[in-house]
Amino acid sequence: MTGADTRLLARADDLLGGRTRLPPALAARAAAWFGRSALESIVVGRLKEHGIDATKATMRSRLACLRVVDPLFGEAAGLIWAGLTRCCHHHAFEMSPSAAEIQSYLKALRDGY
Amino acid sequence: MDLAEWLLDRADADDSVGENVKLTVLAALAGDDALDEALGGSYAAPASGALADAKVAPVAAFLKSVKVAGFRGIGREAVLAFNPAPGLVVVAGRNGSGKSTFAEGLELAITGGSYRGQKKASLLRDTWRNLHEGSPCHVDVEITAEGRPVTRIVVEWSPDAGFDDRQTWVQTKGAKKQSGVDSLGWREAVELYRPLLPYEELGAMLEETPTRLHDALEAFLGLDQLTDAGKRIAERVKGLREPVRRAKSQLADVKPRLEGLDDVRAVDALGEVKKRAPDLDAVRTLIAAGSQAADPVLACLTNLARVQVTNVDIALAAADGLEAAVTTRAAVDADVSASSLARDELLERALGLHTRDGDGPCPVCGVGHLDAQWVEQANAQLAAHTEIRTRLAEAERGLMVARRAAEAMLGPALDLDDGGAELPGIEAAESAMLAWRALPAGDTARVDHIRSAYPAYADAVAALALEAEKERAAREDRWGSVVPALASWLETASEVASQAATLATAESADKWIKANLADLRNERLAPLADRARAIWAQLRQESNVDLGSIRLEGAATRRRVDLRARVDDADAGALAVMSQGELNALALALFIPRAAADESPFGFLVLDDPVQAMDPSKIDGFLQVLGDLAQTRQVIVFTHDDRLPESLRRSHISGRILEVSRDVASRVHVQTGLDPAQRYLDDAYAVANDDGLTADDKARIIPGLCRFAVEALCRDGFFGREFSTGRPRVEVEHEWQSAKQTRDRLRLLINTELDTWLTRKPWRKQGLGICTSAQHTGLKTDPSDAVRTVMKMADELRKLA
Repeated sequence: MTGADTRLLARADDLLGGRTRLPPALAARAAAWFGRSALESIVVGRLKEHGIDATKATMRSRLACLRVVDPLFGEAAGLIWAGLTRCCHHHAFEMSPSAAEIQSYLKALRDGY
Repeated sequence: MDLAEWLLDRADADDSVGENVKLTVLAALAGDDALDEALGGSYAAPASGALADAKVAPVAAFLKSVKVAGFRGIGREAVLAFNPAPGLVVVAGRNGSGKSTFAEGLELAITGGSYRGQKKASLLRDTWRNLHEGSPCHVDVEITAEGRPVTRIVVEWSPDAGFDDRQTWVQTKGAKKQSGVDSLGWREAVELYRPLLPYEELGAMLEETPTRLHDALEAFLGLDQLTDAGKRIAERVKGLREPVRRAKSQLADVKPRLEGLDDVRAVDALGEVKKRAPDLDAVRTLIAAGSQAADPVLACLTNLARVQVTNVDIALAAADGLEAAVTTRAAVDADVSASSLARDELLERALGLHTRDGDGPCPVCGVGHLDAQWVEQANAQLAAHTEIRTRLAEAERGLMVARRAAEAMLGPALDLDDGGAELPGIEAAESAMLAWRALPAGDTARVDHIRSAYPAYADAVAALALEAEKERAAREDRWGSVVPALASWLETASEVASQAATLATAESADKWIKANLADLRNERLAPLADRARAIWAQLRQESNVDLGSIRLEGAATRRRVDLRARVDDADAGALAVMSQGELNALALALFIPRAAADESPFGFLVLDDPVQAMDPSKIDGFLQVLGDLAQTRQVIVFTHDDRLPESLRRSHISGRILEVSRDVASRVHVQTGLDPAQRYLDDAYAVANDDGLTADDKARIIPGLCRFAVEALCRDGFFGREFSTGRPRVEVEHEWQSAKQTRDRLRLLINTELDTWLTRKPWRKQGLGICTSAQHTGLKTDPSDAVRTVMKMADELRKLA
């Protein structure tokens, strides 16, 4: 995990911990966005370790690459990315993501890493 | 391990268990008759292994297809085809798409229509035939099972049949049809493992009474045989304790009644019954003794009752007699004094002198002359006096007799002993007797004494005898009234005594089996509990509830499942602290391991709408649970919303999505929305078209993804085909594992003629090359073309499966 990744995750934690002026629903969505950014960067880092430069690749193909070179992390990353992506966007007829939900993804991310 | 064996091992290891207790437990496992024999002492232990029950061995099954026609929401026949092998299938369809009809049809066929709730059954009954095309009407399920070719389970209705008039039959390929589903041998297993788990049942499970939940889990542990044995023994103990209880209550009745009696028999009997181990024979003797008992009081009373004295009339007659005799005697005396006995005597002697000497002068006066005339005179005088003398003698004799008679009235002194019964008349009788026996001298005094004292004496004695008889009878009655109760107790107590040893054995067996059942239950439950906790951990996500121990506790009406939970590290009862969604997750956590138990004959597990109450984040966890489960089981999940398929699409979990849709007139279509191979190929295509990746990187990644796709297809095809022949699962899986190379795996699907097959179409060999050597040598063609080539091959492989 690079320093930038750590900082992104810390920002997400701040947002979830209520240390911002944003209303909770918005803060949670923002945290999801920071978390997802961190994950994307972490995935690029992980692929780099395997000798693949995916800096400019789409997230879809990054995750596809992970399936080959690091299936275990790939599986976790795929689920977490999908979960956080869902939380980043507003969906009709769906409740806003809760802080706890996003926290659980971030925890899974740290554990999986 | 076999239950009976487990139990016997345990009993052998337990020194406190006697041989007879062991034998009893063993017999109880064998059945009612054997148990009765064992308790009767005539049971011979069977050879080991004979206890295993001869149930039909259930088939280990996967689902191959479900065809439904004319039933519920499906008109023209629609087919839901599965690969009969472990793997995840999500059947997705909007409400009303016919998806639920497949689930219901499947359930009807598998269970023989047995286990859904009453409510559901009546709903089915009313609206079961499709309105558009109600004929033909059938549900046709194909299953594969170890040791037999593909088997069909068919439920069908003739055009005008009612719901309950359905025909159900089972047919294994190449064999005859068999009516019903019982020949599959899984009637019990269906109940036990519940391979079909509808949503409403899931919700109901934890809302049931604690006893029901307990029973559902316990049944699953496969301890029926032991539980039944336990019940049998408990029943016998109850039966054997009944006389003990009865004797106790009879004794409680008899004891105070005995205590109220001073009868020596009662005292003795009381002494016995108070003992811990009464001498029943002694009591029996007491009862048999009757009125001849050696009770001194009773003996005195019996004697006293028999005392009799001479009738008062006789006594008074004797008094009268004496009085008369005295009078008669006195009257004779007066007459006698008119003569003179001495003068008569002198005259007789003078006559004697005259007879000897003849006439002569009177020797007394010397003046008179004794001659014939005088003789005549003297004889006449003497004759007159003889009558008086006779009377005198008679009067004397009469007096003697009367005196004796009067004296006889005195009689012997009476023994007036009431033995301490304190009869009221005893003192009066004694003083009357004393007064009577003080007989005065003198006839007249005696006559008066008889008249004055005898009647009082006779009355007092008669009264006393009467009192004595009454008291005796009363005493006899009181004892007699206790005797039947005492005799009943004696009978029961004898029964108890004769069964004491049997009862002790049964009680020990009961205690032992109960204690060990509790252990065994939780021992067997432990792996289930572990898996439930593992599933819970994945499902709970953001829940702050930690699942702790799961135990079956209590017995009889207090049996329950003890679910412990920790909320933010504080101990709590699980059910109380959970939300509806959490309860749902908990039910899944409990019942998925049950359906996926190693012992289950079902290789499949069908969940109908399990995600209804789940948060999106829980669905991700649930998907992971399903993915893990699908490693070894065929997991089929019906769902009406997009979330689970979406989650599956986004995740890397290997699974197939079947989309069910319905157009006009109940025509239902099923199409594959996604299969695992397609997922890899789509990924490969995405990588091939991503300009952000270098050609070298693409060449590294694409062959890998293509290889995964081809191998997934080979695996599905090979497993499905082999399981359809009834080949044992272990064997098939082993063969798959032994084939390490993609080429070998392809051969498993294509069979022996792989080389020929490969050369027939150009893309086949190229495709295999992309999957294998390209990883090392790099892609020789455009990446997108390479993926397309493999896709072509994949289409062919799909058709082979």
